[in-house]
Amino acid sequence: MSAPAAERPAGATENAAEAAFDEELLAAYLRDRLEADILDLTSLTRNVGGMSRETWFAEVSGERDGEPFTDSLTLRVDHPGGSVVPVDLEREYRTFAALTPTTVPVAAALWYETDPALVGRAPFYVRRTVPGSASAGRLFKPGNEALRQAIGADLARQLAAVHTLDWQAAGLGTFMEIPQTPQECALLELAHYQEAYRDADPEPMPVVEALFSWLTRNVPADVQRTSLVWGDVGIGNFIYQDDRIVALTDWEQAHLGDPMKDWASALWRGADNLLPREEMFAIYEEASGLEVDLDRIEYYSVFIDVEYVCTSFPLLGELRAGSPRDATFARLGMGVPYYCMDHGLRTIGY
Amino acid sequence: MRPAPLDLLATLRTSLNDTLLPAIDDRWARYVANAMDLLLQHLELRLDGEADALAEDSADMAGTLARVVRRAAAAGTGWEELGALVPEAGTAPAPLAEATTHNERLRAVMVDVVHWLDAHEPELDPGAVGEVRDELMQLIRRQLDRATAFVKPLFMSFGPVAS
Repeated sequence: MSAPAAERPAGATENAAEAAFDEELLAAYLRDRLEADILDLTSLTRNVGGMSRETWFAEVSGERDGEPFTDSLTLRVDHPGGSVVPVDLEREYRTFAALTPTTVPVAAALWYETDPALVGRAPFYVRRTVPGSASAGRLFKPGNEALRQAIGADLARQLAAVHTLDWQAAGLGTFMEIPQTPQECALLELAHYQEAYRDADPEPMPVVEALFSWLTRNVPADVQRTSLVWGDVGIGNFIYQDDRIVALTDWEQAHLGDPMKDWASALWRGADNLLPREEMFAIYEEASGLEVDLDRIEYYSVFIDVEYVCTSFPLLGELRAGSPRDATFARLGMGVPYYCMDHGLRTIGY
Repeated sequence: MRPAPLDLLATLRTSLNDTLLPAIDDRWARYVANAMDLLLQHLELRLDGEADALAEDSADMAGTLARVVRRAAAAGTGWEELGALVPEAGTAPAPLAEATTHNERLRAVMVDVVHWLDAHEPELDPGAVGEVRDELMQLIRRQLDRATAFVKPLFMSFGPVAS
């Protein structure tokens, strides 16, 4: 789950005061892992925006076998109070690792670590930073209309690649639950998020229960294909270079299910501001052989509202328990769920 | 005691926006400071109107639940258990903490009613179920409107924004 300004290697500022890693240990760890003779951690910056976990960008330079080198790495670690999304870090890493050798473009997964002695925090994982930009601001600058349209078209092609991926061959079925019926494409995920919501013991929320109820009673009875679902599709959740998407990010909510859920996510987050939705659908249908189903997209639009409620509303429980956290958490914990409850209720006619 | 809490909150926002934020260069720190300002705006609204909104919400829930029980009683067999889920609402207490507890108790009853309908829908008259659900959903809409009036400064969507 990412806030509007998502993972963004370019432009992130130095934030050494916030660094919660032991930088000496981190440099030593990276030197070993990269098999370098000498390594300097030239910068360590925290990403501004993405909220599900902490994302840090490490720039290194050094020497290996007498040759100078530089490298750009991304570290993902849970917030000290835990992850915002009810998906453990290792599953996120395994998703990246499974996708790394496929045609779906992602940052290469490198190492998953569980020993806190390595860098002062654990678990964490490292992936190689993909050069490029995730900036929505740049896409929407006046004069960038052609760039926006090209990226919109490529996003449709990338969704086709995700949804037609042979997920069994990629090994995703070994750690993602496999729906056995069309209904399970939605209900398995719904149960997962309901559990996370109830575990947080929130204040009684009739609106949330009413939305759970609606999703259960209106679950789609047919699905064209059980696909890998990216889970968090949006502008800001991919890296682009020039007019091409070079990496898809934010895989923490990925699962196996109905591909229309990704279209609901994309449209929920305004992807059709890049290119009119009808044009995106046409590119997608041609590239994937799958048909876009507007009814299922509407259903999953409500689902996404509920998903966001379930991931962000429980944050308030931590504040209630007398454990103050960063103000951004309080803002997220109230601002996202109430917005989503309102959106979900309107979508179902209230 | 004076100044009133609302006046002090306005003072805090002035210091944050006029003195602190312009001096912050770090992007993450600015992001946090902006979140603080939005939370202060939310607190201003809560201080000004939460007590009245809670009283209105609790009265609305009590009235709607009573109507639902009457409708259930008139709907015939199968609906008896629903009435037992809804206790006498009583009068909402005035102090904010107690009013919040009272309000949450009523909301818990609504949650029970939603769950009961889901569990028993197959045995009940579909028309009556639809009417009860509609009455509850309209109440839920009104409740959400009352709550979002306070939360709107914090609203956060994920649409494209210049960043």
